[in-house]
Amino acid sequence: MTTAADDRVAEEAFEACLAGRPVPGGAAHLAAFTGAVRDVATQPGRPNAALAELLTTGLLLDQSSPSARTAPMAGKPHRASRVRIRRRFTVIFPVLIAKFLSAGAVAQAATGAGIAVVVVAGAGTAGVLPDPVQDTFTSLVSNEEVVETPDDGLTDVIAEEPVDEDVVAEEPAGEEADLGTFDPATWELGPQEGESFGSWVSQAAGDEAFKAALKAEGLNFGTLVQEQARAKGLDAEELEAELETVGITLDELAGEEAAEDGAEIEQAEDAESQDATTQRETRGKGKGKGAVATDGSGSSNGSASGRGNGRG
Amino acid sequence: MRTGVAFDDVLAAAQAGAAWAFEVLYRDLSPVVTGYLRLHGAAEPDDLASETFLGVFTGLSGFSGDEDALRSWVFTIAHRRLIDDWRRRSRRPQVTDHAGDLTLLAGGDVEQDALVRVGAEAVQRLCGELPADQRSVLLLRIMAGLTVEQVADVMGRSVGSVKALQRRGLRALRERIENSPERSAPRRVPLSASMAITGVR
Repeated sequence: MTTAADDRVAEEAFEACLAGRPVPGGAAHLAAFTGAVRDVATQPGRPNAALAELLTTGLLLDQSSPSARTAPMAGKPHRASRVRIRRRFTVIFPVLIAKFLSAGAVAQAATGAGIAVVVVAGAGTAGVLPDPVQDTFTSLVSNEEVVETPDDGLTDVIAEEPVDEDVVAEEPAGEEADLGTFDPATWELGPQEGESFGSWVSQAAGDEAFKAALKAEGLNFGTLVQEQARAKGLDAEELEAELETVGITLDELAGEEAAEDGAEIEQAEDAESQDATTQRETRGKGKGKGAVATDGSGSSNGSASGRGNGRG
Repeated sequence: MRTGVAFDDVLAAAQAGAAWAFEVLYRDLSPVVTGYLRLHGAAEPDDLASETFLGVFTGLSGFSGDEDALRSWVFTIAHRRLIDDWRRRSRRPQVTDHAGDLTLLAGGDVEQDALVRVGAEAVQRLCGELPADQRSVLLLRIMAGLTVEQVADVMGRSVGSVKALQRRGLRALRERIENSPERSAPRRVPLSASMAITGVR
């Protein structure tokens, strides 16, 4: 008949067995049993096919997880996937620019449109844009099958990459070609598909020869821009926003038109001639700023971002 | 950890999906997990152990704790897989004759293998004769090295309940060993290999 005392002794002996301590003689059976049990567990089991594969290749974790970036991407070349994403982004970035600018959602950045667009793109990826813009961004990104999550580092890479002329030179892009090969004939047709209004304006803004040619034909640069803006359905506020992305003010554009009018009556009055000179000087400064901004913005809007993706 | 690699490093790598870390954890825990399932009478302990580790590795990213906590968690998964297996089979676990398999585990010495095989068969029979809950408590404490509190977590029982199950299990074990054929017959076949080596009769 087992008593409570017997139970207590057995429990103490059992704890001693587990701890590897010597056990009393009366509990030798427990030591034997414990040893025999542990002897059964000496070799690993045979893994099934699924486990064997997991032990060989590891586990591909969720991309949203931070740890996923450190996990081995079994069977998927890391470089190839990044190249694929970079090129997709290069292609759709001008489209993104067009969409964002047309929606009036451009951030008023102090250092050029490239970073502004990056900020908007990043916000779009994070889902914090105003609803109409966010919907546009989401549908656009989903259609283009670009990066799905904000944690993949792609947007961060874009934001961190400064506009770099050397980087621009490495990867040809449509936007870069526009800067170097301005075609007056196509320019007069207005912004091309996927081209922002501001970019279109900036192409000709610094080309005095082109403006002179327009003048010779009885046309005015500022007037053409205004007409194209009306054709695109841009009101004054939107046009101003577009122009500011490339460093041109509405006043400067208006000055282009005013210069034409001023030139017509310049012969009649000296005061107007003085004003026209002043306006030409102002336009010169504006052109300088526009040219600089154009180069910077053009690079960052188009090529730089794509290159940022690539280098990231 | 037996390999000497710091547990934290292995765990972090495994949570990141590294194959080498999975291998380390598997080699460290698979013997005891498979043995636990085998002594519980699982018909296919290797397959059940594989399912256990698949669950462990795929869910590892959500785990946090030290080595003891990991061991406890692994056996929790193994215990639940076992219960699911019982329910699928709709029968109490039966003592299966794994003498052939256990012989492979023993080594190359023929005489030693015979002694170990008998010991293993006796252990399996004794375990099979215990009620499932009592068997679970004893095996989790012996094979997994879990405390009473950890066993309670694994089994979903209270600490008091686990202590009671342990007490009854030890009592039943003593009674069965005292009445076992190995003890009643002439002592030519000892209960365990260690007893044979020491010459205990």
